Amino acid sequence: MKTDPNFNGGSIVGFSHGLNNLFDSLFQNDSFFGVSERAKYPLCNVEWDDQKAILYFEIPGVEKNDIDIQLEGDVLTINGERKIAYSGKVIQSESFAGKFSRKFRLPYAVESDSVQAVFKNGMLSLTLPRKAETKPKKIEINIA
Amino acid sequence: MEQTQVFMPSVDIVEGENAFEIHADMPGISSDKINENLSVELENGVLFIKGKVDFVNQKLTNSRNEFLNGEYRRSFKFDEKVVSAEIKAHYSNGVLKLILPKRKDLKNKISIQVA
Repeated sequence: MKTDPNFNGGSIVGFSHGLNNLFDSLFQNDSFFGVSERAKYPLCNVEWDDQKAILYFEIPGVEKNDIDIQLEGDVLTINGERKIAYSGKVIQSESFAGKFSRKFRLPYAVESDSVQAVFKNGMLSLTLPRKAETKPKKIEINIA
Repeated sequence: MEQTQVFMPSVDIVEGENAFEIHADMPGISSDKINENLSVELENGVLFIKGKVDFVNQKLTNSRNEFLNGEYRRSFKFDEKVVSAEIKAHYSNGVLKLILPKRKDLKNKISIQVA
């Protein structure tokens, strides 16, 4: 996707502010549950511009039906459970198991009806289009 | 240039009655070209797993990453007397599952001598 030349300047400041919000709320969430940063699950990559945000989760070993995603305005919550049941003696255990929850503050409210989700190979991607009414409006300047 | 890194996948290892199981977290390997992107090799009792992450984003204006594109690599040393070479591998939901059957001939080798 081409970078919108109009996006430079003030908008970027606005969005990096959104980004800080996103990661702040995320860290608060994690510390609230007493989970160290290294143990974060699922790991998330995020990218966005002024039209949409895309979140990518590394979510290995989880079934589709064990993932729950909630959207409330500009807050996205992902809850779920990684169910692990082995038969035998566990010699080494490094993988995340059990319930997880992460919360993200998005740069803007999104159209919750037009969210696209793709779940494949232990990766979940969510495309979140920006809510139309939150898009910047051009203000006409009238000269008297 | 794109960032390439090598990661050690998290693994669980389980010993069952007839086999060892290795479960390795390797999300993001494209299953369309699984044999190209994921390999399991056994040489001199060392099991070597390797997988290429196929993470493609849309290169939007802003991004923050907790995981990167790169390659998973890890090796495991096994006693060849215990594990047979007939290893089964299965990739599902981003987890590589390996089944390493224990050698059956081990039991057969023990013969009871009668004086």
